[in-house]
Amino acid sequence: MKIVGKSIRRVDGLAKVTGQARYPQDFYLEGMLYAKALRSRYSHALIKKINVSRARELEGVRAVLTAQDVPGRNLFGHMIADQPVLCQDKVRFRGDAVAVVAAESEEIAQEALSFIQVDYDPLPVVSDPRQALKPDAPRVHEKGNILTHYKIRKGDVEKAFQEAHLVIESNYRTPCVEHAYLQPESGIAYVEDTGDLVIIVATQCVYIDRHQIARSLGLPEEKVKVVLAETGGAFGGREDISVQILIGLLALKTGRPVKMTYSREESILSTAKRHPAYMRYKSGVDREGRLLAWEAEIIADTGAYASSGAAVVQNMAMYASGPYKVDNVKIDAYAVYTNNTFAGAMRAFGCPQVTFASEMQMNKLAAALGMDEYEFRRRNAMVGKSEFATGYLADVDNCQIVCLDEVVRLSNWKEKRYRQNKEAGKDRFYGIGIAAGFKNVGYGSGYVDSSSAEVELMPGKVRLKISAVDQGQGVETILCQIAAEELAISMENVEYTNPDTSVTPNAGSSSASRQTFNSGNAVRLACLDLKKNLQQLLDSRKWKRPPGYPGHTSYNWSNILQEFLSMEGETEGMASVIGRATYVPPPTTPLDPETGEGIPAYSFGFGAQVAEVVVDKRTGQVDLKKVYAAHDVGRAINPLQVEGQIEGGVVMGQGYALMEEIILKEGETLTPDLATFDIPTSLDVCDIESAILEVPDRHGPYGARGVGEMTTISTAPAIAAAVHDAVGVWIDELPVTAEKVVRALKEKEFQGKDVREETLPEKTLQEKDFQDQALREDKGIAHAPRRTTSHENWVIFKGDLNV
Amino acid sequence: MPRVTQRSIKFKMYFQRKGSKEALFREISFRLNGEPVRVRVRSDQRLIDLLRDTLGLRGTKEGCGRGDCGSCTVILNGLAVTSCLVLAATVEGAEILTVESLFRNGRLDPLQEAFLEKGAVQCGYCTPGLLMSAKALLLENPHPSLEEIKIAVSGNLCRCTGYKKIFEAIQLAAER
Ligand code: FES
Ligand code: FES
Repeated sequence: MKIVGKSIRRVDGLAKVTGQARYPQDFYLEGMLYAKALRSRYSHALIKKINVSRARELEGVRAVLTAQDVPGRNLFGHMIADQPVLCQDKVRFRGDAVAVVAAESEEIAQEALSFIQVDYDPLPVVSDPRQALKPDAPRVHEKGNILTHYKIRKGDVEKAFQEAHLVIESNYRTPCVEHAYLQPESGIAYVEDTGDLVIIVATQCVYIDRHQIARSLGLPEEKVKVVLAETGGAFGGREDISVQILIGLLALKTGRPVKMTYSREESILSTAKRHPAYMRYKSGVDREGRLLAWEAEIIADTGAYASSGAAVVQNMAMYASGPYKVDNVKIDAYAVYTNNTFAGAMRAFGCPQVTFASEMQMNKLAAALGMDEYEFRRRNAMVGKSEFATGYLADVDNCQIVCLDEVVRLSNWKEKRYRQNKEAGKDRFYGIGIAAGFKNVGYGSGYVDSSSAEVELMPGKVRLKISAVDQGQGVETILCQIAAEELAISMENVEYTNPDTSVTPNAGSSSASRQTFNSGNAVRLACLDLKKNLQQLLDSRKWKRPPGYPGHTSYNWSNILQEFLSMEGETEGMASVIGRATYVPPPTTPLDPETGEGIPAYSFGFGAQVAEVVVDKRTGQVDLKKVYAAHDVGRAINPLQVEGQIEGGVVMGQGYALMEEIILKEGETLTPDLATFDIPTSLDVCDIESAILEVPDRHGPYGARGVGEMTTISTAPAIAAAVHDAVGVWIDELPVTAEKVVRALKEKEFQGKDVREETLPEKTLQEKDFQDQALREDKGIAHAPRRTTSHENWVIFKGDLNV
Repeated sequence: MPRVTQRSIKFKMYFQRKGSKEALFREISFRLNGEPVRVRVRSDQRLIDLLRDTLGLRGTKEGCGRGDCGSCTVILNGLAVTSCLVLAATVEGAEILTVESLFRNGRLDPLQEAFLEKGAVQCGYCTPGLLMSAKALLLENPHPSLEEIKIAVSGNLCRCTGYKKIFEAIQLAAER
């Protein structure tokens, strides 16, 4: 291979380093208006009356619209449409839009908002999903607060727990976090002379957006054109509609271009989050350390609207038992509505939550068994033809094992783990921890997952048309590499056409780590089609061989291609030759509602990470020193970009593990900016050593799997395990803040034990903290100490323990 | 001259943006990317808006508007500052460099070249700000240590790359 497998520079890199790349913010159209939305004042309330007349009278205001002005369905949603474009009679969270203004300047639009009068009738707020499950809880939606309840039933867990040598039960909690892509939501809309509505926006899929926009604006889809602007990060957060419908509505009403850009606060307040989850896990092993039974109850806060919540929670159920062989599994996963900011897709789609819990379980089990954590995982890892918890039988090769082996080799685990002296200065202790993790590539679960591509050979270049969105991950470069490889031409000859629903075919969304896999295959197939068409052209004798070519045999499709490429610009009378293809991946199915049986996915990505920390016992401060990450990507089409995905994913995992939390109180966001919602900075990050492994996938292009999401899954549990190794406490609640570490150490001390000697999780009952309401007793600020209910584990020992 | 980082020059100036009719105007001159500029600014206009809206230099990005993210970093009299927290009217007589200054006559700055080579760019939204922080560092300290690099870009958030490749790129540019 000449181009696939090479660390080619990004094709969009030049525009980005010179400041010429055009994000939606950078579009300035003649005569454009600026839009601002009025957000709800309450987390839950009925709207009695909205009076916009004073706002309309303000000089420079061109439109003030409310629910009545929405011509189509006043609902949207990525998978289930239950979110109003503009709320009519009820608001369900603080980010709900009640009215929207277009004015000559941003300042006037902002000012106009204060002239809109809304009379609310506040309703009781439900902000804890465990409370929302109760029958008498306030109802967020008519149909009740349970969005979905997924079940997985395999074997007989009760019996297996009775037979188990050792059972560990714990509660875990993971926080609400924000994607925090650097580019806030923005878009610009205008109406063309033909009457078509054009929306230029940063998104993850132009086609899914178009569908929702057209539905709400009451337009046929062909009358709406969604054009991709440069997208400044997405991580799942741009799967949902943000500004699109509002600006479309205003452009149609005013006849002028309308631009809307969210402030960072509005972005944090009103767009999707990662589902916070409350998880009760119970796992049993036999004497040899083989997993016998696995039970989990997961309550995920999906906030005010469905978004992709149902699918995220389905994923949580599917991957709740990790990449391990277990014969007896019982999972219950609930997605529950509350009056919090809605939760949707975020990098790794439900897996970071359940993987944190399941890998913590694995580490606790290993500790209780006195087994090496790596050996314990290796013993239980799925290898070859394996049966998933959903009953699905698939060949997963030895992917998980090679990742574990590699990360252990890379990190020198065997020596560091058993280092005798762990002191690293006064009150400071060194610790090391390991975690594994896997995730589906592609939507799976029965969702349509195809991708279509078109390659057009024209004078001077090959134009690649496909709606795959590059949100920064580099899919544009990957697809150009694949096209160049297949057609045996150089990268410079391939031109990537900007995704635009009127020009490029549907490639599905840039999510689920699927673009390299699905669109990569689509581009390969389209190239094959192009070659076939060129050959036909030759065979049909429509193509005249240039004089001087003697033999018939040596002249083939690639000669025609080269001739096209050597032509300059628009050569007269030259039509182009086109290759088209749609790739449809192997079928999957949704979970059976009662048993959870089903085919979760057609491809998986695996990884394992080791984290090294130094913990200050006095302050509780956790310093992440180094992360080793081994990921099986099937085939690295661009190793430099794979490394970028690993490093970015690890740092996002680090933020999840140690720093990030969107704090909500009665539905109100108390961390609405990047000063209170901390993401890792250059001073927080540690060194990362990555290993790219290549166990080819059966269906992926050149064997490639996905990688974007898998890299962020196992970081948090690896760090939590390292903290335990350092100071002997399990922190079961993310993020692992200094306060939690200190509290856990204090409690341990209180029990009169020396934490350094402690190797087994302590024996305490847990039931109460699952029902415990008190989430945030403090009045609000990000770093105020919070009451935590972590590190309460319940260990049931049977027989003797040979530690 | 002490080295100044983003975080240490948070001009905590929270000003009210009012309707344009009430604003006062003032004419100022300064040097922008080496060229003299004379322009009328509103008294409440931020430097980032002057650059982007009035002067059409859109390489400078806004990610938060309150000094937290560093996407809007430009070099003001040799120092990297967050242009969302600088009032335009205060740059009278100043020397300002934006990301557009790095690409001259079709030639990339060594930093830009290194960012591309090392894979330090993903979504690219943080990139102009990071380049300017790095440029300010190298102008003052051509051979920074890794620690110095980390401090210099500590006010520039990047959500995509995990920073490692950014450090490597800056080191590489410094070597050249
Ligand atoms: S936009 Fe200026 S620091 Fe974020
Ligand atoms: S490359 Fe996306 S934020 Fe830095």
